[in-house]
Parts: sequence; structure tokens; C-alpha cells
Amino acid sequence: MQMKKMTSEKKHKITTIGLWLILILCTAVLFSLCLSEGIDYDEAYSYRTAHDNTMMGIIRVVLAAHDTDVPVWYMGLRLWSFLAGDGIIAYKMFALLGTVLSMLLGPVVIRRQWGAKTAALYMIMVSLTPAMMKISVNNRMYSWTVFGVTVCGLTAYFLRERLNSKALWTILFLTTFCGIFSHYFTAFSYLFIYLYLVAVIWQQDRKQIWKPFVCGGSVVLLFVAWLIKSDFFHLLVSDGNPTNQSKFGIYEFFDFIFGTRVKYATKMGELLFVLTLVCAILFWKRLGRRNGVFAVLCTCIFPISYLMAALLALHASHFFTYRHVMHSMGLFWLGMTIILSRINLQEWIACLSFTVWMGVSAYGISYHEEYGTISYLEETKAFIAENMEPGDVVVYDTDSRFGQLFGCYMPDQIFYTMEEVPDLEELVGKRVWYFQCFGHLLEESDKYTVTYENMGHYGFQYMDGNTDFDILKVNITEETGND
Amino acid sequence: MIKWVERGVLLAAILSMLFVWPYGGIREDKKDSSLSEDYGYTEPLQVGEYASQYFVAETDFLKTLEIAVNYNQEEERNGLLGLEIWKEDQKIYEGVIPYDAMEATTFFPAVIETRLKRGAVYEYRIVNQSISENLPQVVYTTTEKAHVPENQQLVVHEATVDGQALNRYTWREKLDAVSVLEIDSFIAIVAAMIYAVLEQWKRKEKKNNEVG
Repeated sequence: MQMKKMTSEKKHKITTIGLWLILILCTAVLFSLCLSEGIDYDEAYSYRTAHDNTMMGIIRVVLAAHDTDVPVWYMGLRLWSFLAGDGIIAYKMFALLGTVLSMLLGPVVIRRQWGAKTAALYMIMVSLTPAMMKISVNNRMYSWTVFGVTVCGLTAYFLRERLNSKALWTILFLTTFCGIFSHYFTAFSYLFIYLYLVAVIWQQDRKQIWKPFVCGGSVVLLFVAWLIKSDFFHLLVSDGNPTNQSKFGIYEFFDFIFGTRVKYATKMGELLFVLTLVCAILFWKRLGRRNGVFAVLCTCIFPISYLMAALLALHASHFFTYRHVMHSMGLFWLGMTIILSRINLQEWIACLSFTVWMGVSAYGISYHEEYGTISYLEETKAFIAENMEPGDVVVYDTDSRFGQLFGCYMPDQIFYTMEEVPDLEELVGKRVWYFQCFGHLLEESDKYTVTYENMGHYGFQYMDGNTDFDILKVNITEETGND
Repeated sequence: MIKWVERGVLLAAILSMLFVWPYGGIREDKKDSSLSEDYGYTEPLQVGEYASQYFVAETDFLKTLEIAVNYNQEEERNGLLGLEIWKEDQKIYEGVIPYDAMEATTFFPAVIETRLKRGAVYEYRIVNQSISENLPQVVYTTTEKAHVPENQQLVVHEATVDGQALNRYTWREKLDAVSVLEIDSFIAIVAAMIYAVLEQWKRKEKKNNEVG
């Protein structure tokens, strides 16, 4: 008896070490993608919103935008910057932290409930699958909303047996609040989690049915107040834009989750999703009713919330991409792993292998996106450091959004688009530069002579030609009349 | 009986994996195309004449070859253009293209689907088989950046042209290691699922037999 106990203790130790090794390894893989100072437009928006404003300032800026943004994640990013610093890479680490926390649920929570095999597979899937890898290194809120929704789902699962636990209800409230106030579309995920919770409580103890309604309802009230204040409802008026319709397809949805350079990657992903649900039915007794219901719910929340959001987007004017609804992706992988880990050992090993190779291919793509699109970045930073001074005026001939991106690297300069640029008489005597992306130049004038000196081709992270440009040194002089 | 089915599933899985690698039953398309800028036209090809473009086989299977010719768009076109692929003195592919099906200076695809030897030099010929009026001219690229890496010299009327034919190769290449491993893992996933179902069925039958 004593020998058996030692063996199982040893086994427990080995699996604990194994899980922590997986965490460290996957974190290291993702960390290696965060060391580029290249950022896209959305990341620039995150950076500027958090960097340039106080906490109250963030709320004011987000409200003033009358868009779909909500402030909590930006406030979290600002808090993070007090700890990790103000640089672009430090900000990217905040996105990585969201995924690390999702992975941490593996050894801390998932293992205790569903075993080490489920925890290990979950940790690898939630970090190395294509969509998760992208959001882990992209300075936006998605890695954190995935974490929040996953914690919320797990809390709902545990509340089933601990309906009187104040700690669990507090966690449920906080994750719901922080999630909804980090991204609107988390609402779709929370809707299903709360429906599950209501159904479970209705079965077990109907006297406590008021609890999820109070918890969720209070967040909803706050959320509605915010929606009114931020003038959200104008976005629900369709602008008849057909592009919102053209993006939605089942294949494209699975391509977002599973797509890599591997031939048939998306098709294999579609089939794996379907086969997993079939296995949930075939091995229902092995799963048990409680696990089975939870696992199937987790697996299906993401596709169903995608369909709901897609329908909404058909009637709204705001653009829509797949990552806007990916908040339940952590639960998606949790549901899949609960089912797949209970089939047999061979299945678990095959799934592990499949995910690892999918991750290797995804890494190649992400590596190129992070490091292959910044060929001019270092020279551009060097040029700015050597040649530009605080107060310099920079005119650029691309969309105004990109001025925000340029400003991340050049906080001391003043930016104007072609439409905003002041009259030449206001620019005389100033140090003026032109970022020429698309061949335009300043408007000519009879009173002023404008000459340009081409200083070379530069750029930031490549974005369809909007962020690489010739830098022209502009010289504006007043015309002297002929004698 | 179930045992045999299980063995069959295992065999099917192994054969499927072998089909992927090393047989190479699943392949990826790889396109190499000239850039359609900075191009010129050869002298017109008379009946029976041909332009020879030498090229190096990128992989061991050429799926399609797209070629481009020029002609006077104001005049009618009749007759046939031949497309041949030669390895030294041996013709390994032959096809015909109706002249009036081709648009001027536009890629026209010819399905080749022929095995080649990777790294070996081949020659494809655009042959004027029966076009007596509005003669075709082969379009060729004139600058280094527009050339396709596979192409070597272009020869027309026994003289080397200062350029290479404007063309697009679609090769079929074997999957890389990561792709093979991911597909093999998926085959294993499906096989393991089927195996688990069969095992469950076997246990159920055994239980029924015991009860019976």
C-alpha cells in the first residue's frame, strides 16, 4: 500500500513539473514574438489611449470617440505601464500576460477538476493555436477577454456545487463586469454562460434563481447606461454596406481558428470540431452528464456567438471581424480538451501532436508578421533620432488614423494630413517634413516656393503602403518679386 | 470480428500516413510567374517554326504552364499553336491550342500534368502548326526582376533572344515536414476515435453476452 501511494505521489509530482514546463515553454515561444517594436494601427490606438491619458482621461477619450470601445482594458494597460514601463514592447507584454493567465488556469484549476491530460492539452491549445497566438502578441484586449470569459465559465461550472460561495459570485460579477467593459461582444459569451447557470440553478435550488439575475443584471444596467452615454445606438443603424455581409462564412470562421500554411489545415479543423461533438455524444457516459453538458456548451459558445454577432453586423454600420467575437475561444479549447482527453490515450497523444505541429506552422506565420514587416523600422527610428526635433511639423499623405501610429514613435512632433495641413504661410520658418506614401505633395502657392529634399525611403510596420514612405525635407520660402 | 475491424482501422491509418509521406500523394501548388512589365515581342513565327524556352524543373511534377503570345488584334486569327516539352531529343509532352482562344499578351493555361526530373533542364516549344496569317509573336520579359527563376535562354530562329518568355509555371511539390506531421496527427486522431468507438462497442457486446 505504501509503495502504491509513493508511486502516485511521484506521478503527481512529475505531472506537476510537466504542466509548469509546458507553461514556461509556451510562454517562451510567445515571448519570442513580442520583441518587435512594430505595431499596427489598432495597437497604436491602444498605445496612445493608455499612454497619453490618465485613468479618467481614458474614460473621457473612449466616451468621446462614440465608437464601440470600452475603457477597462485600457485602464489595465495603463496600470501595467506603471509596472513594466512605457515602451511599445512593455505594452505588448500585457497582451502576453492575458494568455499566460489563461494557461495558468491549467495547473491551478483545470487539472484539479479534469486531470493533468486535459490541463496539458488545454494549455497548449490556448497558447499555440493560430488565432490565440496572434492575439497573444498583439497589443489589444482579446487575450484578456479570453481569460475573463474562461474564468467566468469555470466559475459558473463550480457555482453549481457551491451556490452559497460569496467568493465565486464575486468572481462571476468581476469577470462579467471587466469583460463587458473591455469589449462589447463579450456579451454574447456571457449570455450563454448565464443561461447555463440559470438552467443549473433552476434544476438544483430554485430559491436561489435570483442570484445570477442580480449578478448579471447589475452589470447589464451599468452596461446600458454606458451604451447610452457613449451613443452606441447610432452604430446599429445600417449604412447598407454590403462588405459586412460578405465576410461571414463557415470556412472563413474555421480558417480563423485553425488556418495555417498547412494544406487542408482549415478542413481538418472543421472536421475535428464536428468529430469532437460526435464523440461527446458517443462517449456521454464516460464524460458524465455534468461534464458533458459543460464541455458541449463551451465548445459551442464560440460558433454560436459568432453567428449571432454576424447577424447583428448585417444590420449595423460598424465593421466586423472574427476576432471581435473570439472572447469565448478559451472555453472553446477547454470544451474540446475535456471531450478529447476522455476518449483514449492514443487520442490524447494524437491531439497533442496535431496541436504542436499546428503551432509550429502558426509560429512561422506570426514570426513573419512581427519581424518580416519591419524592414525599415530601425533605420527610421535612427533617422528620427538624428534629424528631427521637438515641434517639427510632419505632413503625411495617407489616412489620418496612421498619424496616431507615427506619433507612437514620434511623440514630440506635430502631425497633419493633407486635408488638415495649415496654409503655407503658417509653416514658413518651421521645420517641416513630408511622409510621402502615395506620391502627393503640398499644394502649390504663388506666394511661396516649396522645395523638397528626398532623405530616403523609410517606414514602420508594413501596412499596405500606408506606413512606408519617402521622407522629404520641406523648405518653404516666400517668393520675392522680380525687379 | 471487431478485432479485425480494429486491425483494419490501424492498417488504413498506416497506409494513409504512408500515402502522405513518403509517397507524396498530397501535394501543394507552387506558382512561379514572370512579372508582366518590361516585355517585348519576338519575330513572328512562320508555319512550322517555333520558339524554344529552356527551363529547369523546380519540382518533379509540372501541373500547368501558362504562355503568352502577341498578334494584331484588328485581324482575324485561325489555326493552331502547338505546345511541346522536350528533354534533350525526346518529346515528353504535346498539346495544341486554338489560336483564336488566346488573348494577346495574356497568360493562356495549358494543362501539362507531367512528371519531370527535378533540377533537370527541359525545353518547351511554342510551335506555329498551321497559322498562315496574323502570325504569333512570343512575348518575353526583358529585365532581370521580371524573369522567372526557372527560365534559362529563349531561342527563336536559332538566335538567343535577350530575354525570357513571359510565362507562369504551376508546380506540384511535396508537403514539407510540418505539414506531413500535422496531417499524420490528424489521421491518428480519426483512427484513435474509431478505435475508441470499436472498443466501447466490444465492451458493450461482452457485457450483453455475459448477461445473456
